[in-house]
Amino acid sequence: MSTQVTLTLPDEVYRRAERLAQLSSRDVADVLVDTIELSLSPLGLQSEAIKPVSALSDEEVMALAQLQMEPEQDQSLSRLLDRQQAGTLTETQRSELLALMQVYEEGLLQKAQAMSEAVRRGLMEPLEA
Amino acid sequence: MPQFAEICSWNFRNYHLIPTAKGGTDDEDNLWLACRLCNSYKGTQTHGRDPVTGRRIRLFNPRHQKWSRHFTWSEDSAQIIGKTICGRATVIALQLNNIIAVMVRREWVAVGWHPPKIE
Repeated sequence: MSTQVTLTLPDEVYRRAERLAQLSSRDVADVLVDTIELSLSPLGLQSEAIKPVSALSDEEVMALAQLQMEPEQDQSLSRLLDRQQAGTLTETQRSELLALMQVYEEGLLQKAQAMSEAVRRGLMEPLEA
Repeated sequence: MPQFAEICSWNFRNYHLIPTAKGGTDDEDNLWLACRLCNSYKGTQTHGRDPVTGRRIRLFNPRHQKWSRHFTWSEDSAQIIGKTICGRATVIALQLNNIIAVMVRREWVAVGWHPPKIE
């Protein structure tokens, strides 16, 4: 299944895609599909609707801003990353690591969004960069 | 690691600059605090390839090298740009501009937390 969308690309992005298309003797559109697919691969396919952070209540925003991984998942992730560094990951563990990294990455993004929303609403003090 | 990981306030952990798979030890000199993203992308890599010169080079070592000599921020501060052979190879090897990292940095830029002041 596929969905057709119309995108407006900055000229420089289009030129890069065009160059890659020429180098690989492919259509620009195909190169763009591959590029988008690859860059989105860290994200899972969960289909539950996610409310935009701006639509959350103050309490929900603060809860999300303080989000941490579940302790069990956190420990598993640490253990798997250690194994990855030691070069001893099995195929099953590699899949487990990828799944946990998806959880981590989605949480990281949601937390960052919630923290900036909390600052915008005056719920949190801005931090020094 | 002095990049977005340093201020991500998510889950930090030590990673081995030289991975244990390649003989790295738990000595302080071989450990650096980084977030899970940098950690997972680094894996067992110790070297990377500079996309400009094609040269293979040891990855940036935050314990012995200066961040600002090897990297800078893009105009919108959301991406890390490698300035040297080592910097460019590290950006690619650790996927420092992966989509999650860039989107997270954009959120921080919006509220003035980013880029961090880095020596």
